Formats: sequence, C-alpha cells, structure tokens
Amino acid sequence: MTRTGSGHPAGAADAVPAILAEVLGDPAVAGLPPDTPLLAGGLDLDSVTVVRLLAAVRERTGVDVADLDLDLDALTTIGTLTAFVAAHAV
Amino acid sequence: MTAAARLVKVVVWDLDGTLWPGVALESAEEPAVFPAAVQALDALAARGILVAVASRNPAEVGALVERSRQLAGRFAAAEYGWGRKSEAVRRIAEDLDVQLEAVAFVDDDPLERAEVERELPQVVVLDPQEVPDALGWPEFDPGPLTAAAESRLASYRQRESRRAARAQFAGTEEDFLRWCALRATLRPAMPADADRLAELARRTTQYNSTGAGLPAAGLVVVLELADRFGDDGLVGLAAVSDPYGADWTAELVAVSCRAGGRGAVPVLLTGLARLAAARGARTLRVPCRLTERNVPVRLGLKRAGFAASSRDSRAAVFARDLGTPPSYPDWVTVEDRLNAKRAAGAVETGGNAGAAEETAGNAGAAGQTAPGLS
Repeated sequence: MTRTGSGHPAGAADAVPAILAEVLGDPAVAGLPPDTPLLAGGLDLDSVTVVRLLAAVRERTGVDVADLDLDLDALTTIGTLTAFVAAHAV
Repeated sequence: MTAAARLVKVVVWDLDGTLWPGVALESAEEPAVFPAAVQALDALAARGILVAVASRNPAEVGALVERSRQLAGRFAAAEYGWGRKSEAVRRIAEDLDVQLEAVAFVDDDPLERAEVERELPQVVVLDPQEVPDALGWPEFDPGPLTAAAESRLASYRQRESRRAARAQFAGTEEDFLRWCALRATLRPAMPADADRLAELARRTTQYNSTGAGLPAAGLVVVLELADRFGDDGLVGLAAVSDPYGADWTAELVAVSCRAGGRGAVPVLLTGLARLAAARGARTLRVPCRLTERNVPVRLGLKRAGFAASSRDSRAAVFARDLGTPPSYPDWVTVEDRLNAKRAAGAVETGGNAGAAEETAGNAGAAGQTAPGLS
C-alpha cells in the first residue's frame, strides 16, 4: 500500500503528471500546464476516471488522497494534486 | 464461488467459441449464435442482469454483434482488443459501477478463465457449459424485478448516445447539460417507491455516502431526472431519520451512476437543504465513508457547498450552513415538490409538511429489507 514508484523515492510529486497521462491513455496530458483544472472547465474527468486516478496515485506514491484530503481540494488542478502528493509523500 | 449472499449484476461474455462457434472475423458468413447462449441471455435479461462483451477481437467485431438478430442491442458495455481479459472485466465493472463481486465471466478458453480467476478472485468464472446450471444458483436470482431494473439496459444505451453527443459538443459540461434540457423533479418518497429505493441503496457505490441501508423511519427525498435523451425515472435518494430541530443529518445519500455524472448530487442536496432551511434547520450534515470508490459523491457534496466538519478513522461528516439556503444550479430545470407552497427562504415548522413525512416513512420501512450490500 505504501509502495513507492519505481526507484524514485523523492520523485513522488513528479509522478503525478505521468500517472494522469497513463490513466487517460494520452501522453500529451503529461505536458499540460499545472493550472489545468482536473474537472469542469479543464480535463473534465468523469467519476470513473477520478477513482482510477486516485487509486493509481495511491499505488505509486503511497499517498491516499481520498483519505487525507477530506474536501478534495487537491482535485482542483494538475498543480494542486501534484503539490498535495509532494506534501504527503513519505 | 457459491457464497449465497452475493448477487451477480453483470455477466461478461467472450465471443468466439463462447457466444458463437469458431472465429467470426475469419469466417465469410455471419456467425450463428449458440441456441443455449441465446437462452441464457434471455434468462439474464428477464432477471434484469446486465450482459457485456469482452473479446480479444479488434473492435470491428462489434459490427458483427450489432448486425446479429440474436445479439443486437443486448450489451450494456463491450471491451475489444488485445490485452488481458481481467483488465477488460475490471474496466466493464468500473464503467457499469458494480463491484467485482457482482460480476460473472464466461469464456470457453480455460487459459482465459484461469487468468481472470487468478487476477480477479472475486469474479464468478464459468465455462459456457456451466451456465445453464449456474442460472439456478442463488447469486443469479435477484428477486422481484422493478420497473427500473427492466429498463436499465435501455438506460445504459441511452447513456451511450449521450456520451457520443458530449464528445461532439464543443462547450463546457454545464453548457452541455443545458443543451440536453436536463429536468429534475424533487419530491417526498411514496410507498410505491420502496423497491426502487432499496435497490438504489444496495446497488450504488460511487455515489453512495455511507453504504448503510435506508433508515427505518423519517423523511426520504427522491430525485427524478430526464433530458432530451430520455427519462431516467427515480435516480437518487437522501434519507433523514430525524427531520426535526436545528440539525439535520442525512444518513444515506445514494444516486445512480447514470445520473451522478450529470450533477444529480448537488441538485438532490440543494433540494434537501432548501427543505431543511424552510423547516427551521440551521445545519445539514452528511456523514460519508472515506473510500476511493465514493470520491464522486464527495465531489458532489462539495459542489453543493458542503465542507468537512469532523472525521474518525473511516468516515467524515460534511456539513452545510443553512443561513442562506442554496439556489438550484442554472443548468437544470427543477420542479421542487418538497416545498412547493412556500415562498423561498420562508421559515416555517410543522404544518402541511407532515404529509411528506408520513409517506416517506412508509417507504423507509420497506428499506429495512435492503440487504447490507453496498
């Protein structure tokens, strides 16, 4: 559950754009600006995708956003999710 | 594999060698579906159990399925292409918002069955020969079929049309909902809703606050949704066992995944908040489990102005102050039958609101029969 990503213990936050690109199946997503909204008005992630994204983030970085971020403010933009993971990665 | 408590909600079928003989794309003729498979599909449809396809064929085979007189229009989801069958089954379960425990997988290839069995031990894995027998197992007997279950497949296909339209639509999600002419009706639950309410409480996961059964008494507010693509009927409920006093708590909020993606949670909670405010409440609380799967319901709570107020290890309470009762979003046309006779924002206690409690209480009692499955 606290598995860290492929030998990059310090790179948990860097992993977020890559995880997002992988979950969406679109490599171009990794290069989007950090202020891109994840939900309405941005990537418009649907509910299934949000659930898969959070599961992938937890598996790769050990950060359980669903449990730690009660109001889910981390799910505002790519940058807020990256920062949240950076702040909570062990 | 034969635990009696679980219910299969989706059966995922392989194509070649399972639904029809041979390799259809290599044959010059249209595939002839096995009569036994057609019988099984008919039996599943009659029980309201969804069927889906997982095939290693390229997506072109989908055209063969839709041209087949015996198969066209039956499947709620399909996964094609190379890749592991276990991944295809997992994606179908996510797409249809069911737990893996509620999925069965039928494939004639023992290697495929072994792969799914190993990767997804929760799934009921069947050889096609076992299907007629399996149809007699308790996990394939969902009990009385509600009108909503009967129309579930139609509704999934309606959702596919809506998705296709969304993909073509240049504009925001809210503009799209406006274009769809989304209409919501909020009303107190009636005794006739009991089966559907129990079903919603039991079947939903992504848009389910606590996974608890319906409270035995109190107020149940229900949401109906329709748009230009069709009428979804009753798609959401919010239950308050003690709808009196300054603090209201909704012990259960449950919305079908077909509706959840269309703003159903904020609309439902706005309706409940307005009713609570009109009856003199100051705060509306919604306890919520902190699982990954129900993150969607929490995002809906946030959109309706709720914020976390306390937590323990597995759940948090989300609260909204009712000092300024919320307004409905402007992308939906709402018929609010909860509060119809009152001026907006009027504070009034008791009186004619009693009718809502009485009928909702009856429906709530039927909720006791809901098994404790999420």
